[in-house]
Amino acid sequence: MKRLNRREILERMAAVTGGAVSLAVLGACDADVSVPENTDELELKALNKAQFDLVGDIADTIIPDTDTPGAKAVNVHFLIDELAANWMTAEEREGFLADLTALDERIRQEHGKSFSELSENERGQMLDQLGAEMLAAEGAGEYETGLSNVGVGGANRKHVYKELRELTIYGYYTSEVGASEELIYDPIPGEFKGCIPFSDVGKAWSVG
Amino acid sequence: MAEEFDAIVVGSGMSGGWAAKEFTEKGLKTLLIDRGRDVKHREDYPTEGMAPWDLPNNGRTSKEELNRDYEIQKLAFIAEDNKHFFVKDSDHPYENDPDTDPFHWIRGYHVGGRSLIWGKQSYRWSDMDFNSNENDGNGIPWPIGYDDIAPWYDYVEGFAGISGNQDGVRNLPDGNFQPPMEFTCIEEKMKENFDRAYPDRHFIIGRAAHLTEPTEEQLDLGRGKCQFRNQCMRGCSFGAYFSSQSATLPAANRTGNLTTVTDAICHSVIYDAETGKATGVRVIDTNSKEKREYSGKVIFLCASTVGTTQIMLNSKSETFQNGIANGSGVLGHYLMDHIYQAGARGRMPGFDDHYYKGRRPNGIYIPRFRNLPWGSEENDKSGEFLRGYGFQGYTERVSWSRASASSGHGADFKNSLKEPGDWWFSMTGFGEMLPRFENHMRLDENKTDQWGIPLVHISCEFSENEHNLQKDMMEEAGRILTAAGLEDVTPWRNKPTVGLCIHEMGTARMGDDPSESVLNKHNQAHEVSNLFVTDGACMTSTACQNPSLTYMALTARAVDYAVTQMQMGTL
Repeated sequence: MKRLNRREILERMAAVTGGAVSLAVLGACDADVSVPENTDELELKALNKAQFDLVGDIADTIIPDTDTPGAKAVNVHFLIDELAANWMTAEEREGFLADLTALDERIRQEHGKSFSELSENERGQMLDQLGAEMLAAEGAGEYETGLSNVGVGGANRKHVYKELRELTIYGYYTSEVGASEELIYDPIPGEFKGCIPFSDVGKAWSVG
Repeated sequence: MAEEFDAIVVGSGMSGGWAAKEFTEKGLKTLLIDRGRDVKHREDYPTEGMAPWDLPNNGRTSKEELNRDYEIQKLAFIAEDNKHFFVKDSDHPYENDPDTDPFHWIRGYHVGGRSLIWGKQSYRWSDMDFNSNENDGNGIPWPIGYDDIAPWYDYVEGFAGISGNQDGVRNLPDGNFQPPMEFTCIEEKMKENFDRAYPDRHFIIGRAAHLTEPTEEQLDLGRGKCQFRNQCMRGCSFGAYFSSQSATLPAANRTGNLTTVTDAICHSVIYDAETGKATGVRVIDTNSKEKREYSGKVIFLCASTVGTTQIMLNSKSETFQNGIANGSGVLGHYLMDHIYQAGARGRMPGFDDHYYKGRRPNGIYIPRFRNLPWGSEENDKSGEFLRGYGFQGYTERVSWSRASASSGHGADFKNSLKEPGDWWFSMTGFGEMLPRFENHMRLDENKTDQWGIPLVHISCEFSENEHNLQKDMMEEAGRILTAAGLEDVTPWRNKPTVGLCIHEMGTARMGDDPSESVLNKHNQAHEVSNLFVTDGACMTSTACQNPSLTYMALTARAVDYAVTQMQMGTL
């Protein structure tokens, strides 16, 4: 399926609606809103370098490159830095960053090196271990579960791996690659068919 | 000297848009004022068509911002792609009684109001609903019945464009519908099981204000078919869902009879004791805070339930010291909403090789089956609560959102998410709330907003009838989903607060008796013949159906009456 950029979507809408989409709106969507290609010069907004490397390589171990780019290649770690800076409350951010530092230190203690320096096998084992801890903590009701876009934050912080998983998966499947190459994104379906063979679609919709 | 209009309409949302359309089409020079900024159809939908990755933070709004600016609004449907259509609570304060549960007032102050962000579910009331107050003695009798409003339902449905099926449900009259939307695979299966389990109940496709087969009239207004994006709350350049922007305002504008003034807060209605009529409105410019007046021969208040009554309570004169047309003393009282926050969800096994295409901005509906006057004993719960509720339900075949709950990682994990997950269905009840005098709003004369207008003070909470109803709503939702063939059924219920259903009604109710109601059967103030209220404030009871369609019908009906009276010289 051909992917449409926002300008094409609006132009197609203009065709349907008799050309009534304004030029101002069309102009606005030429602005590049994605993360610049040269990420070396981007300043981090919340994470320090060690936290950023940890987040990037954990994200990339959860969602690696396959026939489509993985989490790191689509800059999920930059989005997580953004979300820590601009989405979390100050209290949540403080807790999240402290958790990341604690996790980084723990990995260095257990392995004598950082997560990024682990082999692919060691990374996988580390995530298996964190996953088991996360599920055990949830089973014990130790942490809040479920996404909340509204909470005031604070009480019952999530297990740091749970938080990282949610941010990674959210970031990846709302990225252009994750939403429209790995899965399918249809900006203007044009019709609703309530029950069709899955083979007619072939992959999961990224926006339900 | 104030400018003089034939008609003044305060508020440009669901009801005000209709009033403006009807007046201007009947040839009256009409002034439409709105307290908020202009929102131009198509031009002022800044997030329309944006993909998730186009939005700031991929669509996640700063929690600090929500906590700071949207303390109440954040409890509703606000998100990064639509927050510009909600008020900042920090700019528009109101008060709750510290001794009652809070009332959550969800608002949009801009041209089009909440017609841009409404749920679009559109259901007629039946005689059962109009008769319920009289039958069980709660509230006062409605001054109209189904026959009075039925032709107006026909009329507004035809213009607005409601998709739906002719279902033959006695307490949910059929209407003038465009073709219905499709069920999903699992809804078809559920309906089969449901119909077998509950021969006297109905499982129907939602009736919603989306064009599925536009009429000539709608095409002429620049409206087109629903494209199934389900991003309505961003605004729709196709004009596929009914809003003031897509439908009533273009119709009003093309008559040449409409003057729209934005950023003008209606402070009060001006009353002339000599003629016994309203002569105009006082407004305050939202930005400059300058005051000015407009004159009109007839005034329609369509500023939303609480907004309209705030204006009326603030319209004080020697004759009406407690608010205009408030001789009865009931103005501000009998505030209501629907009770919801209860339902169930469950998983439909199978159907792995099936899917859907498009995002349907609609769901299924199970009309009220509790306590029907002609209902079976099995459906009778009158020992626990009066009236009833309907269910609205949605299907989702979950996609990647299921992934964070597991501990999977790596290429196989990523590849497994290319396929959709299980089919889930969830539904929520919408229940009737009884009218009670003590549930009220008033003005706090000691506190004013930045425009010097006294703050609204609300004291309103659910009582035992609604709590019992909500409990049954949850339990019955679970039983229904199980009977419909779902597994892992989880009934749920949250503590409900009034307002959050965003169906607030009452406070200037209709009735035949001027000593206990504000408006007569034509939505006309008993005591001020050229003052009308046709938004949610006029409602005498709530039924359990989404109310907007009824506001539209009442508004068109009231304008027709007012104009006829003006032509006869009696108004």
